[in-house]
Amino acid sequence: MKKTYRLKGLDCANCLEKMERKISKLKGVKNVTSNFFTEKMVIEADDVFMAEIEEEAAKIIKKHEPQVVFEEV
Amino acid sequence: MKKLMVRLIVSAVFFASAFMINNSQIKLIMYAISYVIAGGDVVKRALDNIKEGEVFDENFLMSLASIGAFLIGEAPEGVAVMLFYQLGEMFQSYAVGQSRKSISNLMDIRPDYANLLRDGEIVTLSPEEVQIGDIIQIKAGEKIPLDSIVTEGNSMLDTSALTGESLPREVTVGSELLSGCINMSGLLYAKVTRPYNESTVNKILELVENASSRKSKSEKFITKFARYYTPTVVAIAALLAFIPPLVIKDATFSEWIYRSLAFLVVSCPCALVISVPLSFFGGIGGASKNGILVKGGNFLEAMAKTETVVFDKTGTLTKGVFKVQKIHSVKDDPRELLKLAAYAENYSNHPISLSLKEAYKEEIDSHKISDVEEIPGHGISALVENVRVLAGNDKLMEMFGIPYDKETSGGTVVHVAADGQYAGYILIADQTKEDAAQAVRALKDQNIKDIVMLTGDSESAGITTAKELGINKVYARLLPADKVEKVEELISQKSGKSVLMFAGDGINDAPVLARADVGVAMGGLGSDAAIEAADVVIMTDEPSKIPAAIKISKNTIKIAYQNIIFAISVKVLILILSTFGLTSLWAAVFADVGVAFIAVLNAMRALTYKPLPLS
Repeated sequence: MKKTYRLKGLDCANCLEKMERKISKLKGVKNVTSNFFTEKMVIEADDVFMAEIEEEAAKIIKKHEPQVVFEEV
Repeated sequence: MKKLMVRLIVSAVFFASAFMINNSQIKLIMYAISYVIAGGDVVKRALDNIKEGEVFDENFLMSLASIGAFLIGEAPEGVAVMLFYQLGEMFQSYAVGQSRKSISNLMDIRPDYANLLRDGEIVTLSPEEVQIGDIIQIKAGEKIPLDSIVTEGNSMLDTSALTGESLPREVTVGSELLSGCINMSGLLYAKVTRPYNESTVNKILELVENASSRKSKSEKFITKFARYYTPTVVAIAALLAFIPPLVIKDATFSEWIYRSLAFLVVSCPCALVISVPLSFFGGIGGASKNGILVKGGNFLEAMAKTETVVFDKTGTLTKGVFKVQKIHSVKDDPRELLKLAAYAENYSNHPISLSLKEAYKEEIDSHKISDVEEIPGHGISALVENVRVLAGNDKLMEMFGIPYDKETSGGTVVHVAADGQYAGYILIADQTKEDAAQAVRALKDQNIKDIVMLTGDSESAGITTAKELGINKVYARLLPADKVEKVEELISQKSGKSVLMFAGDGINDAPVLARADVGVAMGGLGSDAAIEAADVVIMTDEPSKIPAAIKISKNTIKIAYQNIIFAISVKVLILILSTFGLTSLWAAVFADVGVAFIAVLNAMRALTYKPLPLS
């Protein structure tokens, strides 16, 4: 399953790079791509793990960039 | 952001007043207050992240650098580091915000709604809900919401958002409307031909947005560089702080720690991590503004290294429309000759026959035609008004032993004989596109070494077109599979890292598009297979967009390299200066955030670049 998210208020490109790397290591994740300029992240993962991944991803993002609003589009 | 600005101003006021106070204890307190106001949140985030095991995070490094300055008795420097760092961050996020705005303006081709005609009434709904075959209404000033065909009305279309073409296009009943264009004048009704998710506008947006996932080599380099840069600089800083005081006589810890703190200040690779991808993203955005869709940063980068450009002839350099160019009649009336040919070829659907009928214009009375026989590879024999007409190529004339006139220029010749008597011939040829010669010239100006034309047509047709356009390498009579082979051969001939670009109109060219280093599909939105196989899609059918694309690519690379070199050299310079104690901390932080800001502004030039009208 592929889901696209908006990361509103992204400030730091280097942090996004780190988030992407961490999220891609979560269990069940197949692929993560992100775009700093359109503030979008696409997560491709097994359906079973999706909810869990989403939760973890939100935590990881919060850690790096607390002001970011993370939501599915 | 306003909040941050207020905080920085208050902090700066405390900072300035601290300078004027003589009592050293109060002075220190003032510095501390100034520091907390400016950078309290940075320190807090740093502490939070340490708990998570995130050490080389920029918050931590800045906190360490500034607190370190406090500890070695350089309080003002510590405050300055934090103040300038925050100020720099503020400017940087402003610049990023601006770039985001320009990018989203650029992508503002997405239609918000469609006016659907249902039971004689207009209902407004989102384009996704409209189905194939529905009739939509488009008022003047509105965006075309879905790909459709005009059923009623006339108007002028502004296609510039899609094609980069500034001249408005006239549309009338039967014209195709591409979603994303703007209806400029009249009221139009149109029948929807494709659902929203397959529509032109959606395809373009997807292509441009997904383009950033295929990263260029420069972007990959920066990502890698960033990963090793911070730990390396921090490690050197640690060595610098403790080794010299232990080894060198008279060297003090406070002096060397001070120098090492400057390393921490420039240890964030932010300028590079933002500006290089932004250059590429801007370049891709700028290209799409010119009607050139580039599917990835890697392709944009590759185009700058183009050494060989291979064109398909028909439909790419030529219009792909066959027209009667010349009627050579032996006896008298050319009109009569055309009539005989058109009648004889009436039952054929070959493009040649169609162009004969089109040139003849009048209605063909099929009752007057009988006994039609097609002689494969030669032509047609038919009885037209009781006259035995032969229409076909040289071989047909030779077969019947009829002497004929030779025509050597390119194109297809249809000889006509009536009752065994040679009547003359009709020359049918494709026309080159208006800007084809200009495109070839512009490519030569850009030092493209090899310009090659491939065609399935005859040698004479190929050579004629090539001569007209100034191309000196032509390979003719190629089947689609031969084209792949030829392109492979050309790839093996070119020098090491240079790039071979192939441009075709896509219908039969998918395998060649895929095989070339960079495959360019022309007038691409028609064929899905071509969009799929191509790396670059040109929205219009103008070959002059190819040199324009190469120009955009070169400009983008230039900007990206400027940023890489500028940012790295400023950082290295600061590192060298601070190793020798020649710079202060605040100067280091000022230079570092300044670089990031300038690099972002520079990267934005990739978005607004216009490949000037080519000579």
